[in-house]
Order: sequence, then C-alpha cells, then structure tokens
Amino acid sequence: MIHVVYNFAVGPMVWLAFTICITGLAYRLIRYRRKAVAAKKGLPGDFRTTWAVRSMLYYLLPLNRTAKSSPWSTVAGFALHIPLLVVAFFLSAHVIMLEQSWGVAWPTIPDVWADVLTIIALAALGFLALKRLLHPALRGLTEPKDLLVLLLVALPLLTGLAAHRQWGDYPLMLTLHVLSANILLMLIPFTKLSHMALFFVSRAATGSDFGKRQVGAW
Amino acid sequence: MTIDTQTLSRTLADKAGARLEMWLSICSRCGMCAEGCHYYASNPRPEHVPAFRVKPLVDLYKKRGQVDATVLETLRDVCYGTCTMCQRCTMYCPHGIGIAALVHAARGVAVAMGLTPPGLAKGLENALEFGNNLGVTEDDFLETVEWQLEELQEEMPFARAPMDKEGAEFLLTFHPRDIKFYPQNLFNYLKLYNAAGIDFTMSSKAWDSTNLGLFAGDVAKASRLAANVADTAERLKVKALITAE
Repeated sequence: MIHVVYNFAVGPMVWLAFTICITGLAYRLIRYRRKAVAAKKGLPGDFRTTWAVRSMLYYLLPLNRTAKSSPWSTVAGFALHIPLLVVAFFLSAHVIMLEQSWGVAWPTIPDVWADVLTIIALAALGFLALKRLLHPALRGLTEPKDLLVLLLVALPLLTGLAAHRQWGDYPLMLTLHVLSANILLMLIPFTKLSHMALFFVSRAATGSDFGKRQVGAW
Repeated sequence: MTIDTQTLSRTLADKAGARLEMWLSICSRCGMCAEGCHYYASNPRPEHVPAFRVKPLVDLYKKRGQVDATVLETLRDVCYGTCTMCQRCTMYCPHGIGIAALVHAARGVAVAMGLTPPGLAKGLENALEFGNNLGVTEDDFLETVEWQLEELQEEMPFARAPMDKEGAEFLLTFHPRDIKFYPQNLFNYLKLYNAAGIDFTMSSKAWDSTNLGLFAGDVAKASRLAANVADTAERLKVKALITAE
C-alpha cells in the first residue's frame, strides 16, 4: 500500500505540484503586471530601476534597518531561507532523482551538511513559532493560519531528516516527506508563501517609490 | 446600520489595484513593522502593530463585501483611529509593504460607505467651501496677513507680503491652524522669507497646505483640493509651491 502512495507521490504528483506552483506564481505575476500597466495607462513612466534593484539587494542581504531593529527575527529569517533553498537544490538525494529521470545533475553538498542545515532551519521555524506564541503584541496579531504555514514548511524538513537518519519507519517517512513537499509546493501560490515571487515585485515597487523621494532604498 | 452592498462591492473592486492585491496577500503579520510605529512605541498593544491595520481590509476582501456593519465600524475605528499614514512602517517591512496605502484604501471604503468620522467630515466640508479646513474667510485671512505684516514691519521695515502677485518664484501655503489660532507663526514665516530675500507670493484663495480629502481617503475630494492650489500656482506662474509643516 505504502509503495502505491509513494509511487504516486514521486510520479504524477510531483508533476502536478510543480505545475501548480509555477503556473500559479506566473499567474500572480502576470495579473500584477496587467493591473499595474492598466493603472499607469497614459501616465509618464517613472520607475526607478536602480533604486528597485538596490532595495531588493539590501533586503536579500541583512543590510537594512529591520536587521538592526529586529536582529533575532532577521537571524531566524536567514537561518530558515538559506538552508531551505540549499538543501532543496543541492541535497545529493534530490539531485540523484533528477539525474535518474532527466539526466541533468549539478554538484551536491555532503549529507552531513544537509542534516545540520535542516536542523538549523527547523530551529529557526521553532523560534518564529515561539515568538508568535510568546511575544505579547505578536500573539494578538497572530491567526491560526500563521502557525499552520510554519508547520507546512516544517513538515518536509522534519520528515526528510527522519528519513535520512532512519528514524521510525523509513518507507513511511520517505512517503510523508514527498507528500508534504508536494503539498507545500502546491500551496505556495495561494498562501503567504507567494512572497517567494512577489517579494521581488513588492520590494521593487517600494524601492522605486523611495527613490522618487530620494530617501534610502531600504 | 444597513449596508449598501452594491456600493461596497463597487468600491472594493475599484480599490483592488495591483499593489493592494499583492500586499494583502503577502503580509505575513511578522510584526516587524511595529518597530517603526509611533502608536506602538507609546503603547505596545497588538492593535498598534501596523500589520493589524491591514486585517479589516483582508477580511472585507475575503468575504467579498458580504459583511455586517460591525466589520465596517471596526475598519473605520482601526484605520482612522490608529494610524497617521506616516509610512515609517514601510521602511521596516521586509516585504516593503505600503501599509499606509492600504490604510488609505480602507479609509476610502469607509468614505464610500458614509463612515467618515464627523470631525474630519466637517473639516473637509470647510475646505471645499472656504478653501481651508478651518473655515477662515477670505477677509479674515487678508486681515490676519495685514496685521502680522504691520507687526513685522516694526522690526523689519522692508518686509513685504505680496498677495496674488503673478510671476513670483514661490507660492506660500500655510496650515490653517497657524492663520486662525497661532498668527505668531505667520509672523515668523513672513520674517523668514523676507530675511531670506526670496521672491514669493501668497494667494487670497488658495493658501491651505493641508489636504483633508487625502487624509480622509476621499480621492475625488482630495483631487479637488489639490487642484485648487495647483491651478492657482499655475495661474500665478510660480516656479514652486512651498507647503507648511
């Protein structure tokens, strides 16, 4: 039974997950573009490209006032995003699967690094969840789905780590890992996780606006 | 209160621009914007975290305007009562969300539903009728300028206060409060501009630098008020407009 689920999860469901994720995000970007162009019709162009790019860079690196005003959350943010992306793209097991099906491959990181990075990412998620639950003002602001989205990201990490370390039942953990990762991908366009693409759009728009007023781009 | 659902859904559709849609969907309520907010600095309650001000609007869009009056009243109280639209929160938002723009849109919804706070509505009415939000008449304004100029000339005999002069370099505008309650401030402005030796003028019709239409979220009235000053500036052929505060 578990093998049937596993085969579905690593086969058709992966295609479905990536299709939904990519077309969903593309739709959001195209919709933004169309609305923005319609609103700007007949007005002179005033987009400040340099400021937009600088605004993105200053937030992709911890070179902004938020890094100073909320240092712990900034650390947690980087400790979550960097390991998440590095492990997703450079874990040997991931690259091997891609090589087997498409014949493309790129360098990988040692598995022990992957374990450490995953633990760092999980710790960061734990910090963000605890902050939501314990910080008085943030607790009042938090809605249940804000915690659910953290759980959504934590599940593939947790099950992936468990599978690799052979904790619990290996086929079950691996199946849960693929399933939860697929679900995460599919939900990206419809949740706050859409910031994966829209972060760049929003920072560009705001950075350009700041540029018009000649304040900082960050 | 009964809700005109047709007006509400039309307003929501009008306001749903590219940025509004994007920002409502990516605000993760991380709360880092709180560090920039003076409401939060003086009283760190959850309602004073800027991201909180986005909630009523998210709620409204999610329910496609099918809400009861309490939602709209909450929106009005939150968006007029806990924000000055200073935009500092945007400088602290990792996503660069224009929270003030969202508050402005929310206020626009309140305006369309006839929920403008009474004090603000009165000032806005004044601005449209008298050209300034405190309802100072043209005679009163001219008299106040004359009075302060006379006082100034006692210590600065060459001081001038040109009115409706064409072709000057700058057009001065003031906060109506300075004219009505603190004429000493007008004295100081005139002293400063005379001492600086710049070529300026005032307008007897358009001298209010505030725009309560913008503050209220009423785009149509904001445009009329801005046009009042901008058209005057063009008619007087000034090079630049100087606003108070």
